Amino acid sequence: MKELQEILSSSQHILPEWILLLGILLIVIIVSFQKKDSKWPYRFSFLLVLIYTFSATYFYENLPAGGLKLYGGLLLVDQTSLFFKQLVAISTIVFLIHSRLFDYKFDGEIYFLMLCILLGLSFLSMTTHFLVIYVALELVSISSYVLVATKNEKMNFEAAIKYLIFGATSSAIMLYGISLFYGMGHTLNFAEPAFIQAIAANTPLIIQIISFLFLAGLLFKIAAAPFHSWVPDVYEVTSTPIISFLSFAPKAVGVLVVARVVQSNFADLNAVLLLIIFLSLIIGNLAALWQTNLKRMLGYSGIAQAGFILIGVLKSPQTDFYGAFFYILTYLPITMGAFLLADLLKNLSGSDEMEDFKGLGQQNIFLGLNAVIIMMALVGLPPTVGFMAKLMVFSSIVNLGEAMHSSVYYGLLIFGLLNAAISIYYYLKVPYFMLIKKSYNQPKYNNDFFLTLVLTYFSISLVIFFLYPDFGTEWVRKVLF
Amino acid sequence: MQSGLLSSLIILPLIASMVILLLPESYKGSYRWISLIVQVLLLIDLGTLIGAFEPNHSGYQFLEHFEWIRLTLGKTSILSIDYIVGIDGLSLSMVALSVIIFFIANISSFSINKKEKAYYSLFLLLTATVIGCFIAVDFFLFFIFFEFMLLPMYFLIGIWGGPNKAYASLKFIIYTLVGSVMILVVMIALAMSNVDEFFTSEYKRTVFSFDFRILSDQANLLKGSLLNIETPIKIFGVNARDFMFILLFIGFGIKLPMVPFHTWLPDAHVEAPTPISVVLAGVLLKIGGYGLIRIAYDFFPDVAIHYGLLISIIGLISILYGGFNALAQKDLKKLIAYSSISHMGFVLLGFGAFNIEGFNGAIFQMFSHGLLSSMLFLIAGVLYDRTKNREIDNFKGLAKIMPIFTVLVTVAFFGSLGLPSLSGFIGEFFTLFGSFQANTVPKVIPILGVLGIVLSAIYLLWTFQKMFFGEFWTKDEFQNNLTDLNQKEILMLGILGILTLLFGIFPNILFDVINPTVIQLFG
Repeated sequence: MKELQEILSSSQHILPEWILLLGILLIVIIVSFQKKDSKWPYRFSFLLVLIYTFSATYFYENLPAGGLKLYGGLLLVDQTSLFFKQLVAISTIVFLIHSRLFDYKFDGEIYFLMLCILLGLSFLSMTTHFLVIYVALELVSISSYVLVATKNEKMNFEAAIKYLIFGATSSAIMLYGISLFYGMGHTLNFAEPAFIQAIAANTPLIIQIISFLFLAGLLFKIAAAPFHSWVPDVYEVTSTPIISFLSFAPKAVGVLVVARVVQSNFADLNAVLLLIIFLSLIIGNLAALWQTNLKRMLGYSGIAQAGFILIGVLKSPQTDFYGAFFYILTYLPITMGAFLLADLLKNLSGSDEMEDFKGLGQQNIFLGLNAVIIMMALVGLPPTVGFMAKLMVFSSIVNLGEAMHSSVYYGLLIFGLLNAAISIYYYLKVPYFMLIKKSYNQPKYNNDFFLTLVLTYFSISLVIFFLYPDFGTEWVRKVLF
Repeated sequence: MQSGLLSSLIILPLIASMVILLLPESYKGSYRWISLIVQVLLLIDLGTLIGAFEPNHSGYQFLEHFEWIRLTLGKTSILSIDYIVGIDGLSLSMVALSVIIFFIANISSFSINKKEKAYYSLFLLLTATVIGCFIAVDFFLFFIFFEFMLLPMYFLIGIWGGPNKAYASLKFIIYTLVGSVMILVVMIALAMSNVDEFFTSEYKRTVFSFDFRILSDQANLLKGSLLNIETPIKIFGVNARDFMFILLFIGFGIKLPMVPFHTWLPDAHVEAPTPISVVLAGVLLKIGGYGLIRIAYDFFPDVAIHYGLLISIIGLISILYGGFNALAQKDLKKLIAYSSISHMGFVLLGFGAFNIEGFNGAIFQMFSHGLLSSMLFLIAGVLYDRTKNREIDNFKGLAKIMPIFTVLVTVAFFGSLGLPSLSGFIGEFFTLFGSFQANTVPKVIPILGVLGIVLSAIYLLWTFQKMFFGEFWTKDEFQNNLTDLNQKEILMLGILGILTLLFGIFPNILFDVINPTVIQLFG
C-alpha cells in the first residue's frame, strides 16, 4: 500500500511527461484515421511539443535544491534535467520548422517516432538509475533506427542496418556493464551511497573497465569514438531535418548522463574519458579532412565536437560541468544551423557534394556570409559563440591541470586546440567553394529569399550570442549540479 | 577621459564595410570612394591622436573602458572581459604605420576591378581588425581582432590572388591559425592565473581578468596558480612560465615570420594582389613583433631574459637564410618576400639583445620595414600591372624609359639595403648596436648579422643593375606597355619615399615616442 501511495504521489510530479505520453498516443490515433498526406500529424505534434515545453518550464520551476526523488529513486527531477528537456524540446521545434520550410512530406509516423525520442530523452535526462537509463536509451535507439530506415531507398536500409547492428552491440555491452555493476553494488542506482561504498571494495582498474563497458551505449548516442562507425553513413542518407535533430538531441542528453556518472564519483573515469576524447578528436578530424560530401563531413565533425564536449565532463575537485553544458547550449544553434545551411545548399545545387556549391555564394552574397559565420562557429573562431564555448571548455582544462598536477591535461589543451586549428581546413571548404570557386552552370533553383532570411537568423544569433553571452552563462549557472 | 577617438578607428571602417555590403550593385563605382574617404578620416583621426599624444607620459593614453562580458565560470569564478582600448608609444607608432599603409593600399586597390563590393568590404574589415589589434588593451579583445583578421585575409588572397591562390590562402590561414591557437593557450593560462583584486572583493567571487595592465603586473598572480613564480608548476618537465613563453614566441614568430615557420610568406606574397601584399608586408607582419613585445616580453620578463641567446640565433638564421634565398630568386615579388624575412630577422636580433637600444632598434626596424617593404611591393605591382610579369630577367635598362620610377626605386632599394640617411639604416644599426651591447649574446652573432646587410646590398643592387641599367630591352609584347608612372603611383610611392627619408634623417621623431614605453618595459 505504501508503494502504491508513492507511485501515485510521484506520478503527480511528472505531469508534463504524462501530457507528452498521452499526446503521442493521440498522434497514433490521428495518423491511423487521417489520409496519408494529411497535415494534422504535423500540426498536432507542433502543438504538443510547444505545450510540453511550456508546461515543463512552469511545472518544474520551483524544485527543491538537490532535486526531487520519485518512484523510490528511479527518477531524479532537478534543474539540470529541466535544462536538457528544454534544449531537446527546442531542437524538436527546430526540426519541425526545418521540415516545414523545405516542404518535406513526412508520413505521420515520423512525427510519432520523433516524439518517442523526445519522451525517451526526457526520461534519460532525469535519472541516475541504470535500469531507467537502459530503457530510455532503448526507446530512443529503436525509434532512431526506424527513422533512418523510413526513406525507401537502398542506401537507407544499408545505413539503418548498420545503425541497428552497432546500436544493438553497444546496448548489449552496456547491459553487460550494468549487470556487472549490479553484481558488485547490489543496487541499480549509481547515485546511492550504498552503491558507491559497495563498489569501492574493488580495484580501480576493474571499475574503470566496467565503467567503460557501461558507457558504451551512451558513447554510441554521443557519437564518440570508438563507437562512432555508424555516423558517416547514417548522416549521409537520412533526411536532413531528422539527422539535424539526431545530431544534437541524443548527444546532449548522453553527455548529461555521462556527467551524472562522473558526478556520482564512484570511479575515477578521467583516464577512460581522456582516451575517448583523444580518439574522438583525432578520428573525427582526420576523417573529416578527406570528405567531399557536406553531410558526411558534418557527421565526422560531430565526432570531433563530441570530443570537445566531453572535455568539459572531466572530473576535478571543483568540477561543475560548466564548460560541457555551455558547449551543448551553443551547439544547438550551431549544428542545427549548419544542417539548415546544408539543406539550403542542396536545394540550390541539387546535391550534397561540396564541389557542386561552386559560385552559390557569389550569386547571393548573404548566403555566402551565412555559410562563413556558421562554419566559423563550428571551428570556434570569434566573433561567434563557438569561440566562447571552446574558451570555456579549454579554461576548464587549465583548472583541471592546476588541480591535478598532471601534464596530461596541458597536453590535451594543446592537442585539442591544434585539432581546432586543423578543423578549419574542412569547415572552410564550404565557403571556399561557394565564394572562391567560379561556377560553370546555373543553379537549378532560384535563390529563396525567405530561406536565406531564416538562415541569417541563425547566424546573427551566433554573433549576438558571442557579444552578449550573459543570458546563456547565467542560465547554465543556474542548472549546474 | 573617454574621447571615442580610438574607437572611431575601429568603428568607422566597420560601419563603412557594412554600408558597402548593403549598397546595391548599381552604386558599384562609389565603393572605392567610400573606402578612400574612410581611410582619409582615419588619417585625420591619426593626426589628432598624434597632436594630443603626450610622449613623456608612460602607460596607456586615450583609454576607453567599457564593461563587456562577465562570464560566469562555474560557481566560484568570473572571467572579466572588457572593451578597453588605449595607446602608448609603441601602439601609436604601429597605428600610425597601419593607417598610412592602409591609405596607400586603398589607392593601390583602384586597379582592382573584379567583385568590388566584396573586395572593399573585406578590405575595410581588415583595416578595422588590424588597427583593433594594435589598440586593444585587453587580451581577449586583442585575440578576437587577431583571429578575425585571418578571414578577410583568406578571402582577399583566395579570391583576388594569382593562379595558385587556393593553395597560398589555405597555407596562410592554417599556419597563422596554428600560431593563434598557441597564443590562445597562453591567453587562457594567463587569465586563469591573474586576479583582479578590486572586482574580486566587489563580486565576492574570484574575478579573472584579461586586462593588459593587470596581466603585466606580477603582483596579481594567484598563489598556486599555473603561472605563479614562487612555486613553479612543470608541464612536460618544463616550467609552466617557460612553456608559455615558448608558445607565445612560436605563435607570434609564425606571424613575424621567423625561420623555420616562414614558408607561408613567399607563397602568400606571390599570389596576393598588390595592395594585399602591401598590407601583408607593411602591417600584418608587424603584429607578430608587436605581440612579442606587448605580450611575451611584457608578461614574462623573468623568462624572456633567459632566451636572449636563442632568440638572437633564430634572428640571425632568419637574416642569413632570407638573404641567401633572396639571392637565388628570379621573381621580383619572391625576392622581396625573402628580403622581408631577412629584414624581420633584425627585429628578432633586437629582441634577443634584451636592452633598451635593441628594443628601440627593433621597433624602429618594424616601422621602417613597413614603409620600405610596402614601397617594394608597390614597385613590383607597377611592373606587374603593365606587363603581367615579374621575372627579373625580362627587364633591362628600364631607367631609359621610366625615369621617375627609377628614382623612386632607388630610394626603396637603397633604403632597404641600409643606406644611412634612409630609415632602413637606423633600424638595422640600432638592433646590431643593441646586440653588441648585450652581455648574453656572443659578439659573433651581431658580426654575422652585419653580413645580412651585405647580402641585402648584393641582391638588391644586383637586381637594380640588371633591371634598370644598360640598354633598354624587354620582350616584344611588353615594349608598348612600359610607360612611366602615372600620378596615382607617384603619389603612393612618393609619400612612402618622403617618409623613409624623413625618418632616416630625423629618427628622433619616432624614438621620442617609443622610448618611454621601452624604458617602462625595462623599468
